[in-house]
Amino acid sequence: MTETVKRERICLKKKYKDLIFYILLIAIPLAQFCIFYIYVNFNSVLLAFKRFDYDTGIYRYVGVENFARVFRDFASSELVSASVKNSLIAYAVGLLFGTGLALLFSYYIYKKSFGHKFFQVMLFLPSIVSSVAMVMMFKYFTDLALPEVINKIFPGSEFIGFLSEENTRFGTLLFFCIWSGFGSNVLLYVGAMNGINDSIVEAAHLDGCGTMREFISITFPMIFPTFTTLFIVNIAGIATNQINAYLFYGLDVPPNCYTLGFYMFKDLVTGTAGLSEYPYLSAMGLVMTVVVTPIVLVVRKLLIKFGPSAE
Amino acid sequence: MIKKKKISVSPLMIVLGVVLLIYVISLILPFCWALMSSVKDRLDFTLNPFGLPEEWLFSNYGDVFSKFAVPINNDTERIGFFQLIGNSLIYALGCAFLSALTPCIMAYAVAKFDYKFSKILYGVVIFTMILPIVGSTPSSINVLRSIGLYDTFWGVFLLKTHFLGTYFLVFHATFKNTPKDYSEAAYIDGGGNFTVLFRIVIPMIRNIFFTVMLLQFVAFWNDFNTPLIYMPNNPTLALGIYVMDNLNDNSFTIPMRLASCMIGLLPVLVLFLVFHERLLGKISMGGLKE
Repeated sequence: MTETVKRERICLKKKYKDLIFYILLIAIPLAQFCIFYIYVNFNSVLLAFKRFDYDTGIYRYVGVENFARVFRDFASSELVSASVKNSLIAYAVGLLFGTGLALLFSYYIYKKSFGHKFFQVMLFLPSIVSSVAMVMMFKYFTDLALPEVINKIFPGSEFIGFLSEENTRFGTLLFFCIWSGFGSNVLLYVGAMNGINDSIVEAAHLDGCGTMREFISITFPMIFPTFTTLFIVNIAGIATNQINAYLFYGLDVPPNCYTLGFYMFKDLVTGTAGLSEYPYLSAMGLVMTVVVTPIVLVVRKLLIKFGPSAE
Repeated sequence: MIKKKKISVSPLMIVLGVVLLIYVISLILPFCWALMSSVKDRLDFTLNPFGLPEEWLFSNYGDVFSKFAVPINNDTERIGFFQLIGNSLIYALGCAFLSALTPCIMAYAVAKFDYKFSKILYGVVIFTMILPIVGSTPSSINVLRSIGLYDTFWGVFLLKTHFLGTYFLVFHATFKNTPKDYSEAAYIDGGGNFTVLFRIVIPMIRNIFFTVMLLQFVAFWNDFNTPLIYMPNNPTLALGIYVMDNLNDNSFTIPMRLASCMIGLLPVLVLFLVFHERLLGKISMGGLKE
């Protein structure tokens, strides 16, 4: 009996010690989460109902004034309309070409085709290179070096550069995003493809399944959960993707290259001058969150329900 | 085996191979051009943008160190290249360590202790990954301003000490898949929770911890966005290169700008060459790949 009590006490002491240890481990990260996630987002909602008072230097409640401005801008501002349109185009092009090519490239690497290791390294390389450096090399190459070649090949064309010509600017920014953005996607897709059971693939080969058929009927359905995850993350990106506009043009981004991401970013880099815009940006962010969240959840459900099955 | 050979020469693979080759050339070409242009003088660069340099001006690289002066505090002060490298090291090492350690510790707590709260924490991580919150940056800036940590390294470190995101899932899966025999033996020998964590568990997962830290280091070394928004007067090298490229300073020529870009790339490229297998293959959502 005494032995049982002793054991129970030891057990209780261990449980107590475990609990203290657990609290010590999670205390700091949890406090950080409470301040920089819960409070920040809660404060962001409150900020959306305020206005910066330059006389007193504090934010005052002004009701739904900022939301009215957001909806007014969505309805009438050409810059906001262009931003919405460009953000949707960037998403569609990214999905079609970026994701499509990333899937095919991943398949090439997964099938261990000629030079697959070299290509995998090269595809990942832009991901580890600073976007500042990538943009700088690309910018000077396309606008200072390539026009020379183009004007020599087509005399009299007077081409001034892909980023300087009004008609090619936006397309060039989109190209850059896709061109430099395969790395992590390919890594994730190849990882998922490597998890496919070899016996399924071998059985398909015995049944005479070709490369294309294998990709469509086996590989893609088997990695569909990874595709769904990246697809959903990209939807959220509609409201945040800046397509590197700030890196290419600074604050002088041409109107036809504006995206929602850049529209909301531009006032954050102007220091104290942007303080008065913070409430408006918070209101816009809130509207975006309210619009995008149900889309993300519905698309996720639809993809899970109607997407190709691994069965 | 014969089947495999048949697959590797299929028309789809040939087309993909050609497209990949064109892609790789398109990546290498601007890099080689930038490297070559970084040793030209201004006139040579303007008149002969594609040809080899008339004179190989390696002094451009020296000029980067002497001429680099990034304006801060409303242009009342300027900071040089070495200070920018120092800032980058502090920022990237500090943030990489904290942003690897926090999800690691939290994932250990959640994976090891089967409390209800652990399940809630796991749910919180998944929820925050799905919920696309947009536009909370102004609020973060205001919070940092209100606690006096805006425009400081400590403020950014605090911001990055979070456990949310993919790496939490990576560590969680790793801890779940780590054999418990050693930890249990240590408990039987009288070891406490801290002894088990720091002497048994962390050494066992040091490879994955190092990989996550390496990935984070590369990301933070390259990050110009966070310093731009949260510590504009403590610029890092990435931000400094961007600022210098956008200054109307004619004495800092485009070849010099490209030279600064090459110097900025060097540490990351060296890390990549040394650790590329680790960076490309050692990490997965399912934990550690052996």
